[in-house]
Amino acid sequence: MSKVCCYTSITYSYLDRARVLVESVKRFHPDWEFVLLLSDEAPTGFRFNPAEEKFDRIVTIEQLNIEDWRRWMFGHDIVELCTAVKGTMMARLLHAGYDYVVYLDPDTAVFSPLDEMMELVEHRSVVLTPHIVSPEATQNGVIDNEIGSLKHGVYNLGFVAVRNIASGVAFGNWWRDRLLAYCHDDVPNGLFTDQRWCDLVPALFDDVGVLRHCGYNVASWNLSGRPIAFTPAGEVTAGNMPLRFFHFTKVNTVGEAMLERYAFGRTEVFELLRWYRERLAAFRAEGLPAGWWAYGTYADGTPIRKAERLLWRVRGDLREAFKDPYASGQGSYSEWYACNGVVAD
Amino acid sequence: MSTNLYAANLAPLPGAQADGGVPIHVHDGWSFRRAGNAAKDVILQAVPTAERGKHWPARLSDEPVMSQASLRGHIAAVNRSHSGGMVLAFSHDHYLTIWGGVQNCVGDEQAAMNASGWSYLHICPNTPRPHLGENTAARDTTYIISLNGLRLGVATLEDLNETLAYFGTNGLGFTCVVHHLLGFAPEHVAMLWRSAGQRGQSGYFWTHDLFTLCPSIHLLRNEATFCGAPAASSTACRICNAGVARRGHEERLIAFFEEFRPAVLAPSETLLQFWQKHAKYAFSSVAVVPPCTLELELAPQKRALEERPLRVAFMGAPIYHKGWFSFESLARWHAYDPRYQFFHLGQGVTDVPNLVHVEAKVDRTDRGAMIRAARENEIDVVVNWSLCFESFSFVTHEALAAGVFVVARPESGNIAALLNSRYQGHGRLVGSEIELQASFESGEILEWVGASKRGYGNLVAGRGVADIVCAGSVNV
Repeated sequence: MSKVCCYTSITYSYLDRARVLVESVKRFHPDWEFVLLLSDEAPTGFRFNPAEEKFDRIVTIEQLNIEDWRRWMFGHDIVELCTAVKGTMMARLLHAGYDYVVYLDPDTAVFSPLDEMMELVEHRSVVLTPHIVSPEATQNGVIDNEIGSLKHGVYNLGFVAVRNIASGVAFGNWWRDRLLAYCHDDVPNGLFTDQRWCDLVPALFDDVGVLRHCGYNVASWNLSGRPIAFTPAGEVTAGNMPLRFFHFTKVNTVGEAMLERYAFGRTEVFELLRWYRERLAAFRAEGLPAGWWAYGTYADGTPIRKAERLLWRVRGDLREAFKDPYASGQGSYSEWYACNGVVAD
Repeated sequence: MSTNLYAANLAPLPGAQADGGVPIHVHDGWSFRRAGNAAKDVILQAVPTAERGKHWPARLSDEPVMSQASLRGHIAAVNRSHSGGMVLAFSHDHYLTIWGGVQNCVGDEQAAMNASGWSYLHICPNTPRPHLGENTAARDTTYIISLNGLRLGVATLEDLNETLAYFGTNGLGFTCVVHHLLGFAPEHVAMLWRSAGQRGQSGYFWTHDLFTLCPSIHLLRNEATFCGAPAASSTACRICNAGVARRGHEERLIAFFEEFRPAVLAPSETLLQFWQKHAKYAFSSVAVVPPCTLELELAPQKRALEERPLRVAFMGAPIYHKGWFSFESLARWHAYDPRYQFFHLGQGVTDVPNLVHVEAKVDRTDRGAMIRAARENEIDVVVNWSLCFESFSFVTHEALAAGVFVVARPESGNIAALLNSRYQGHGRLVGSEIELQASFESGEILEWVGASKRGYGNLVAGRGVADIVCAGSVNV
């Protein structure tokens, strides 16, 4: 039997989402191994026992062997970091010998077996899912979803599947290298974390598959073309195809508003949202402080601003001068920035 | 059928009291648009039934439980005057003080059984719940007991069980009838049925609604959409607020039905067919027993529609799953349209402009209140846009008896069945809310009503199991 490994990447603040995801993956693919990639450290007093979790394995950012990882990490905000490590993890899992490696964003949930994806990846090197698979019919749709895809990437990297063949491994290594160097949210300069990079993938690698099945990676950005419905037998469909996995990008009021915008009066998608919120509550990380991210603050607890990270990222002299960017107090990068930095955010 | 106690304990709908709409509707010809989406709000507020039950009262009555001797005394006393035997009736609430369809059915059954020489012991949970009750210890479980239409008080399951066993072994013949199991542990009811010697005989089990299939009594998935009872293992059940509880619910009822194989009674052929298609339960026989029958006068009531606006009503509680929001949208859209006048017959104040509210409360003392209100106000049309698969629909029967044209959904269960068969021409099934709105905007509804068959009639109360029990058989 082929060995399939599925992984996701989080900080503790998304532990509830990852728990929902692993539950949903294991329901339909109990033979898959599920690895949690964690770019965080637990706060004092927070109880996290891996033995009680459904993840088969937990890998921390420290274990990825990224060179000078703490200083590298400082140059990324939370989203950039959780994305930047995806490539390294992919490459490691392929090198570890899994036949297939599947990445799923922590805010996705699987609703039925991912059979079409597995059938496709068995004959391809890399499988990607586009944000949209049919032209938008409204001006809002064009602006939000078509122009949005041009800005942020044609493929949604909430999902990618790779087969362990030469071209698949080549992809994994290339993705790792690019994300280590350029996993930045910098749309004006043509970068949006890992997604814009993957626009190049069909051109750079052999046998790349584009999965256009309406039931994969359903989200607010493609809901207009694939409305959610229920069959009399109680199965969920997206655009008349079985719903495979849904991407619950933002479950707050903003995400709710985007779903409503593209549901066009239909309400079935909110049944998915209701369920998802209920599962999140059931899998809440008890005792975790709100907004927790161990690498989001200096040593004295002061939050690190995005501008401070950006300056660190672009100025080699600063990186040379301050060995531990997380330090605080006299002689620290934090103190230097307070005196010399430009308040930009 | 109505379960008003349970409806009253549902969370209030956002915007149900306030306008909630964008005021672009105020001139006729402009579509009313609600700022929010009522169905979305209902869905996002739906919680598991067990969670909802936590907010229900721990007990309806804290009065001291009556002694076993007292209970025995009451039963012994009525035995002397009722030689036929005793009906043990189970329903979810106290039918003598709470009004609604099931409650009226129980009351009618009690009256008919009493008239036939039977006594009628009614049992309802003292701990109401929107799901099956927990299988608690007999001494910790209490019921409200009524005998022949008089409330006796509160008794423990332990005392009630021993009392029934005592009378059973002393020759009293019992017939057990379940009207509703909401709030009951089926294991408790099974214990009482055994003590009453029901095993081996056919007791009766009513399916006034679809609670036997799912804790969501109307099978409204996430409180919003009729689900059609897919398999409990389906994705729909997995994401439904009632789905998690459904498997255990089914298992407990399978055990009950397997042990007793009751005769299953349904208020309509429509519901019975649906139930037989989807229920996994063992039973001995089935029968349709309508809670009331409509005797319609043949002479149609012709009204001069051209002399006044068409009178359009919503009858009953203004709640989401009975279609209030669809009616409200129409009423707001056409609030200043000279072709129409809108009425709400029932209880509950709303703030829809130009809507005439007519207080109408159907209870044991005034069963004809809704029919009378419709006739007195010369209602022409009722928009019965229920989102449920209606098992019987008193509203439809009341409307037909009042000579009112009924507009409903094709998926409305017994409403659609009535309008498609016996009462063809008395109403119209409209495929979607958009078509409903179009019929009012275009004025087509006026043509439908003008061409309709309508006439006054009477609703004759049913007798519950009385005719079956007294005849000693069930039509299979």
